[in-house]
Amino acid sequence: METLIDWSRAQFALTAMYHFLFVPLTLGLSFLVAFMETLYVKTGDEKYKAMTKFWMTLFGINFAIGVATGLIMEFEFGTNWAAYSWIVGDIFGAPLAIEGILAFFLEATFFAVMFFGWDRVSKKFHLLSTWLVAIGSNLSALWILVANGWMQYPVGMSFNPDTARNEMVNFWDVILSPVAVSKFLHTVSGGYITSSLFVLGISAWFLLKGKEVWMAKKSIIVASIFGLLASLFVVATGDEAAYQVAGKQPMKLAAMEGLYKGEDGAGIVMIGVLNHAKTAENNEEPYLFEVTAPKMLSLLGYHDLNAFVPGIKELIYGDESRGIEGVAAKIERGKKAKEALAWYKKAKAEKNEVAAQEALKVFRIYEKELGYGYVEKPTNLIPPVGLVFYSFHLMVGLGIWFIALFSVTLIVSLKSDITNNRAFLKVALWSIPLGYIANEAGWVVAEVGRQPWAIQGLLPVGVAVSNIDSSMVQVTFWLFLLLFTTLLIAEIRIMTTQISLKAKGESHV
Amino acid sequence: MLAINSKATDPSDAKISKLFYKAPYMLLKQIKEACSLYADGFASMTLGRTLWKVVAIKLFVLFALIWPFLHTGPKTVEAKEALAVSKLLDK
Repeated sequence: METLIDWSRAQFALTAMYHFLFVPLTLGLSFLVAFMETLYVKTGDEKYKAMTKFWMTLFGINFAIGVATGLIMEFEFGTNWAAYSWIVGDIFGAPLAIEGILAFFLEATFFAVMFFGWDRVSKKFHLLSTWLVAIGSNLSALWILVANGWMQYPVGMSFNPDTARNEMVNFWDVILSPVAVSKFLHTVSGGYITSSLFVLGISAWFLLKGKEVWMAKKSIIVASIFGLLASLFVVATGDEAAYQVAGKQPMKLAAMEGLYKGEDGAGIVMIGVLNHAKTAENNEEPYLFEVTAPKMLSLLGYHDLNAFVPGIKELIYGDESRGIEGVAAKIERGKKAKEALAWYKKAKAEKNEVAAQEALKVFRIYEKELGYGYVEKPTNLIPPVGLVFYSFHLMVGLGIWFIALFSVTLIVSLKSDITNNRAFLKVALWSIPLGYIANEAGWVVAEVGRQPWAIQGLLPVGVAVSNIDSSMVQVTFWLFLLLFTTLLIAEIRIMTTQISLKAKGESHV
Repeated sequence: MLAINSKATDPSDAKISKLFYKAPYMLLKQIKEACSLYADGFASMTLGRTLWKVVAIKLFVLFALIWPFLHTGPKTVEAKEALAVSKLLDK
């Protein structure tokens, strides 16, 4: 069973991570292209039109290669996670269906006008289409992230023991969940940063080659303004995301910081190396080396410099003096919920209504902790601390780097001739992959940090997974790896060809 | 019903009735223009052709080659419910 769960997890992680190599560029480049086209419509300068068309071509390549990679995840819900799909499909399906409809109608309609309509529709209608494609792409992301936000913080539903499904009782609770809102804003702004780095890096390459200098300089200004705004916004949304995590997923926050023992006025590790011998059960030091910013974790998680931040030990074993309940008690209640559910099902099958109602009463008392009933021992609720800790710190470190990079780029490009600074241009070029790395690291924090839950507190992955042959999952894992890697290589090759053609002054659309 | 005959005396009625007759033709014209936008757009594609080939190959690989391996979970509603119940009851 462990093999099946691990391979199913690995396959989903692989699919999601490859899919998210394509998505951020779509989210941000669509807006950058819309800004550029707005400059064209405002000034009437044909050079802006050529600039817009070039970046639009790269946007189109990314869109075409990336399209349908997300579809595979939806397949996987039905095949590898069939129990999950049944138990939460009523809630999870609604945002995904809206996403499909919005993505199809809004993007498909205006996408065609954007690419084919240059000389067929008015300038203003074309510009409107470009903006609608950008808005449509981002709205698609909204619904996906609403679904993901619900997995982190399930609200607006009620469990129906007859159908064994969670049913949506309040649509607005689901879409306006604070976790979903902060996740959406944080994720899309991450995409804007990635796209700005992409435009900045490629423009830097043009300047290093001494080609398309006007376009590259203008693109750098647009990208650095957008990138800087997005980088600052990502700090604000990251703060809100951490606040939500502290309240709703405290174990994730503890793992993000490698915090085993809770503290009042807890500090944030700025740089550190975890001691891998450390567990919740021993008294080893948690870090081999660390530089800490005092009280910053309390401030980040609770907006209070002196707030108590529970560590892994308190969350697992409880701390009466702090009013924190240990997991063992929740496991006990979860088991009672499970037993009551079994009793209810048996009574229903025997058409014993009186017994069924009695069982239902008991079930309703304990149902909130049903998910804990499947947890064998409390320490199973600790996510992989090392992976979450390093991913979180990598993401934050890169975020700081992006603010510095965009700030310096903007100042240099406005105050002097950026073409003279070749070392700086090389740094900008090599920063392209860093945006992707930060995005992926963010997803690792979000998803690995809530393990072993498929739905936080409600459904562990062991219950969510299908009963299928693990060898089938292994085969498709390798097939997907091959397919996605081929697509990624195709994307990079087609893009670099188009960029080289542009440098040679050849037509590329 | 709108006044759609020659007896319409109010000039605004006449305008509305004219629009009423014209609307289907205008709609057809718009649809025709939209179709030609797509047709001309596809016909004049260069890089787009390569991208469409990539999309087609990708979908073929996904649905024809990989899908049969994936399609191993429960298929009917009853089977899905039975699986979920058995998992929830730890059976």
